[in-house]
Amino acid sequence: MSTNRSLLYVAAGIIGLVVLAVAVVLLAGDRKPQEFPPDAPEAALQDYLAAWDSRDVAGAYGYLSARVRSTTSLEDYQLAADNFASYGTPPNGPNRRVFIDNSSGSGDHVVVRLTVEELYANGLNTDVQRSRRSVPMVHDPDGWRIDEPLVWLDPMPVGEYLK
Amino acid sequence: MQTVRRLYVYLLSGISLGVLAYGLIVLLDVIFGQLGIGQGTLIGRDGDNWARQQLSLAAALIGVGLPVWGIHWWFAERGLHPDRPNAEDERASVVRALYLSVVLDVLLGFGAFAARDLVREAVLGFLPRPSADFYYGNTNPAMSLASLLVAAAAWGYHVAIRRRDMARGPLHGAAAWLPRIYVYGATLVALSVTLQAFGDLARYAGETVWQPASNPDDSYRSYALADSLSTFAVWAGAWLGHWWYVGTLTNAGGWRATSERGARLRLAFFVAVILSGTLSVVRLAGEALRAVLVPAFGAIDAIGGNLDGTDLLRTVAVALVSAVPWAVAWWLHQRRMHEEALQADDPARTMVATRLGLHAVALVGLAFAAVGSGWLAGLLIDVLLGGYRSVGGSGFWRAELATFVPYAVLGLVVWIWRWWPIQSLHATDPAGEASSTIRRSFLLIILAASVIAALGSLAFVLYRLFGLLLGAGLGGNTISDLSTPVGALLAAGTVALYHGLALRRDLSLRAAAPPVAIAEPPSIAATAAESLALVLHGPSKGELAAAVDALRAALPPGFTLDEG
Repeated sequence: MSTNRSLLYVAAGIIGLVVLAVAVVLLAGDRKPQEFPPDAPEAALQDYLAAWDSRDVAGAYGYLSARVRSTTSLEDYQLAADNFASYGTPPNGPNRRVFIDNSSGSGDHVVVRLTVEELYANGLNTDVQRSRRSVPMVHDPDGWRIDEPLVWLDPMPVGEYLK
Repeated sequence: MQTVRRLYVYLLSGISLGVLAYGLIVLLDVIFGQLGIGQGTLIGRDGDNWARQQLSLAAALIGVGLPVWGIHWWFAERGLHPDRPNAEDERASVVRALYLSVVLDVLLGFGAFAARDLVREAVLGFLPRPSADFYYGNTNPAMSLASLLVAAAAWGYHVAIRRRDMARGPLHGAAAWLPRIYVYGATLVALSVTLQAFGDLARYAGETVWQPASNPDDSYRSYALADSLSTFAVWAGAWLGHWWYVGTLTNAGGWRATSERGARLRLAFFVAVILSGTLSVVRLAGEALRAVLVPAFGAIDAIGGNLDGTDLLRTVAVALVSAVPWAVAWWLHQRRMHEEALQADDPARTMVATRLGLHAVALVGLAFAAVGSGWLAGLLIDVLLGGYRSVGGSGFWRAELATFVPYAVLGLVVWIWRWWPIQSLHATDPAGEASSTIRRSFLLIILAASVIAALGSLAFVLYRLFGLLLGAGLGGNTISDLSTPVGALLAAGTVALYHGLALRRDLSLRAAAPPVAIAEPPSIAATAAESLALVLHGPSKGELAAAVDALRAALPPGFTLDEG
């Protein structure tokens, strides 16, 4: 193995990989979310997350099931959302992506399993944390709804913890 | 001066290689992420410039790591160019050997863990989905794939470098044995992890065939099965690969085969497998026996379970099935060690192999016997002197009895099985055995372990006694608190006394033995008729010496090569 030649191959390969990555990222741009049929539970979950992205707390509240809304008032939900926004969302919280792993169940009850990726970037100190969530969905008269009190995808604080 | 230069060059090469590798992993992760490899279906909007942030990080790390590593590695490699005056010194340097060994070790471990994560994710796809995802929240197949690819590429590159170094001529001393530590260390670790994972798989198979009364969470079972299966597959591959490579080295001709077959590290590897095999077989056989003794001693309540016949059957079967591959590994490596000793056509080496096999197994047997009997002696003292360990409560002492009786019995059986032939060897040739380094090491290891065990126990006994004499009010039941340390002290003392006396006898035998006559080397005049003078030319003194070593290694039996 010629040292100079092998080192040149290694360097050329790595530089080629960097160029490829830059091209892929710049040309492909950010990945587009999957589109689901309007009557799919995934679509309701997607709309719920879109409401959160646009800070539409009342809109997000509307994607909770009737059962959850009967025990959680919009005022309490708004309070929990304000607290969450102070630490859980950018620019205060991490950058996030949400992926669907799979869905299970049938009829009016479905559990959608998600992977949440959170990017904590601070200069060279970059950390990606992953966690899995299971979101129970129920089919209410007005469509698929989230059957658990969630603030974004985290469990909603209750009682004293809400303040 | 050269050593300091090498330390600098290889240290910087290693650090910058780490930076470069991490940058490449992040880069590949970004590419895979953009292509949707190893990720689910994106549902929410993509993070704000997520990929660009990660790409910036990767480019920065590579931008720093690649030139710094390239320059330093080029310096390191330039020293080996045949035109360089110290090329042979560079090739045979200890620092280079250490660098290659450490880099190969780290990359193997890193790659193996990434491969395990990747295989585990693939296996989980075929198993019932866990209801709770707590167990494997952080696995990212894209990142695992990136890590595996980078580690494999870097590992392969450094293996090629090492093979090229070896192809250029014989290597001696640390330049030979340091990388050997990597090869045999990796083989040993891979074998041990594989067999351990096999035991875990046997347990899940047992739990499937004989369902436990207290059914564990399915989430746990799916995850644990996938974890064990992936660990088994990946490390079995690593073991097979390394063992095959070691086989090619020993079967090849020339200096490499000669050097490898006679290597002490190879012998140490065989002994390590024999030791771990014996230890695991006795431990697992002890578990099987314990499962039988727990109900026999009425200790089911003490271990807090609703054990029934199915549990008993499962525990015994799983323990015995798990012990089988350990026993096979032990037997195969012991046989291989003996075969290689026989092939060397050297009676002394055959004797060394025999002694190593016997003493290694005896050592493990004695350790189990001593621990088991020490604990049982403590329990007996407690019962005889009226302590509270065996009175009332949940009857935990019965569980202790079921645990330590098997250790004491099995350990004693194994020790006698191997100590008997050791004593026969000693009876046949007392002076020869007394002067054996292996026997002396065996006795000294036992003595050291006994003294260390006795020290801790004695200190605790004295603490309680002084506390009693000084009225310190230490509380508790003095007899029960002292029973275990006194039992350990008795066992350690007995073992130390027995082996200490053996050591003393050996010392006397060695002192009484006549001094070994050192044979005079045959004079050149006496062998002149059978000699042939040759002149060897070469590019440098260092390479001439290496060529002479290679010629010596390739000589048939009965021939010698002397420098005039």
